[in-house]
Amino acid sequence: MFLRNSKLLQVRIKMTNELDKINQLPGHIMDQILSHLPIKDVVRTSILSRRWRYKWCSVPQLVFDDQCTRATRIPSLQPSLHEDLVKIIDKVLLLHNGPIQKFKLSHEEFCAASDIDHWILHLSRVSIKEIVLDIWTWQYYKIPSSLFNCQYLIHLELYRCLVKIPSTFEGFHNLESLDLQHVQLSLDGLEALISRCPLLKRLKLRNLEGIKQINVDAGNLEWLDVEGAFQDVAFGVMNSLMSLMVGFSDDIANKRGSNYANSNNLRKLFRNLPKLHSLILEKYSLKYLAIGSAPQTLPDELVHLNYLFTCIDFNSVEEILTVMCLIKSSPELKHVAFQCRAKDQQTTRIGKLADFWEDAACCVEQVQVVSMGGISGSEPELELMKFLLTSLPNLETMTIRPNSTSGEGRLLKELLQFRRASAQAKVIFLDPLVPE
Amino acid sequence: MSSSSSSSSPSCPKKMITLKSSDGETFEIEEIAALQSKTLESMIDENCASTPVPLPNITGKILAKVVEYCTKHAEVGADAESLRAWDAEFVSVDHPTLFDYILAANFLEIPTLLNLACQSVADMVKGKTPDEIHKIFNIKSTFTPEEEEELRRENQWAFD
Repeated sequence: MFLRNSKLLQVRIKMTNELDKINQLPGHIMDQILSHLPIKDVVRTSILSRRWRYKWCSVPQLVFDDQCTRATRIPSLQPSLHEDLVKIIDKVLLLHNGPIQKFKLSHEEFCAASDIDHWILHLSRVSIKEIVLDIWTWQYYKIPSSLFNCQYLIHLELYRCLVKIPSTFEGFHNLESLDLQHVQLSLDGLEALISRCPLLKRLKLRNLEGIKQINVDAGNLEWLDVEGAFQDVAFGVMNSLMSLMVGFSDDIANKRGSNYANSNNLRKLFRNLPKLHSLILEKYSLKYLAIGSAPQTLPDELVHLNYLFTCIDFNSVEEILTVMCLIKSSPELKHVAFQCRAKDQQTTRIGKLADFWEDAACCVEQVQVVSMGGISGSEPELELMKFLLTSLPNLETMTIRPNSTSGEGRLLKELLQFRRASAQAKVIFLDPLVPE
Repeated sequence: MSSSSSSSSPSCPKKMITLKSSDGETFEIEEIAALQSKTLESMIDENCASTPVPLPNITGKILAKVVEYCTKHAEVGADAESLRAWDAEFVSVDHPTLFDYILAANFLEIPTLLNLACQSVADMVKGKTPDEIHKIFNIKSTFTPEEEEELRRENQWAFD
C-alpha cells in the first residue's frame, strides 16, 4: 500500500509539473516565444500568469500592421481603424519598458502625420535599431528631424515619405541597410545621406521622385538595387559589391548630347566593381549600357560574375553587342538569362545580325545555363538561340518560356533543327506565365 | 590528443558519442550530428566526450527525439522543402512534449530546434483568447477576479 501511495504521488507531481510547464520556462525563452507573435497576441500573454504579466513590456520588436486592428468590412467604421491604431501605438509605447530594437508601422488605413512625429521622437530616445515606415494612404509623410538623431539605427526603410536632410545631420554611423521607395528626396539630400553612412552594406532605391541621376558613392556596399525614371547612373569605387540590380524604367532618349557620344556607358559603369557576382539589368538598363560604342571586351574582367539577367530588345544590334561584351568579359559566368522587353517588335536589321554571329563565338564557352523568357519565336530570337546552342560547348540547360502557347509548335520545329555544341544540353520549355 | 582522429580517410568508422539520459538510458549519436549542440560541441573540442555524457535534465523519451532531430539535420543534401515538412511533423506533438523539447534544446544549446519549438508554441498561442490559452496549456489562472479585470482594462484593445 505504501508503494501505491508513492506511485500516486509521483503521478500527481508529474501532472502538476506538466500543468506548469509554460510557467517554468526561463525568461529568455519566454522572450523568444513572444518574438514570434504579432503585437496583439504578445499583449494578451499578460493574462497568463504573474510571470507573464509584464514580460510583454520588454519585447524588443514592435510591429503595427493590419493585424492590430479589428478586421471590419463595414466601410463606415474604416476611419475609426486609424484612430484605434493611434491609441494602440500610444499605449504600447507608453507601457513598454526598455530598449526597442525594431519599430514597424505598415497599416493600410494609417495616414496621420503628427502622431508619427511623437513616436519617432520617443524611439530616438530608446536606442532604436530598425525603423520601417510604410505610408500606404493619403499624403506622403514628412520625416521629422528627430529621425536623424537615431544614432543606433542599423536598418531604415521608408515608403511614400518626404525626406529633407537637416544641415546638422552628422550621419547614421551604424546604418548597414537603407531602403527608400517612392520617397521624395533631392539629389543633394541623397548624396548627403549616403556619404554620411560609412558602414552601409545594402542599398535599395526605387522610384525616387524628382531625381534624374543616381550617384552612388558608398565604398562598403555589398548589395545595390536602383530602379526608377532616371536617365543616368554613376557609381564610385565599390570593392565589396557582390550583387547589382539596375532598372531604368523609362525608355532612354535616343538622341544624346555630344557629351555622351564618346564615352561608353558599359565601360563607365563596370570600371569600379571588381567583386561583382550577380548582375540584373531590368527594363531599359541594357539599352542605357549600349549607348556609345560597345567594346569587344571590358578592359577589367568581371572575374567573379556568376549570374547575368537582362531585359533585352532582340532586334537591337547594339544591345546584343553589349550583352556579348559582358559575357566575354566574365570568365566565371555560369548562368545567363534573357527576358524579352515587351514592346512592338520591328523586323529590321536581320541581315546585319546574321553576319555578326560568326565573329561572336569566342570567349563564351563558360556558360552552362541559359534562360530565355517572353519568347514569341521571332527571327532575331531564333538567331540568338541558334547561336547559343551552336557556340556553348559546356551548355547543360536552356530553358525557354514562350509568351503564349500559340506559337509553340513552330518554335519547337525551328529549335530542333539547330545543331548543338554540347552533347548534354537539355532544352526545356516552360509554360507561359499567366498574366496577373 | 587521440591518435585515431584522422578524419580524411573515408573508410574510417563514424565517430560516435554516447549520451545518458536522466533515467539511465544511453543513446549513440554521430559526432557530426552532435556538433549542432553548442554544449556538446565544446565538450568534443575539449575531449571530454569520450565517456557517456550525463544529461540529468533530459529523459530518455525526449533525448531519443533530440538525437533524431540532430541526425536528420546533419544529413547532407536534404532539400529545404522536405526538411521543412519533416520539421513540421517533428513538432506536431502534445504541448508538454513541446516544452520538453524547448528545455532540452535550451540546455544543449541547439538554436535551430529551440527556434522551431518556440515558433510552434507561438503558433498555438496566436489568435487565441486567454480562456482558450488557459485550456490548451492547462494553466490555472493565479489572478483573482479583480486582478484579472484590471488586467483586461489595462490592455483593453488586445482583448477585444
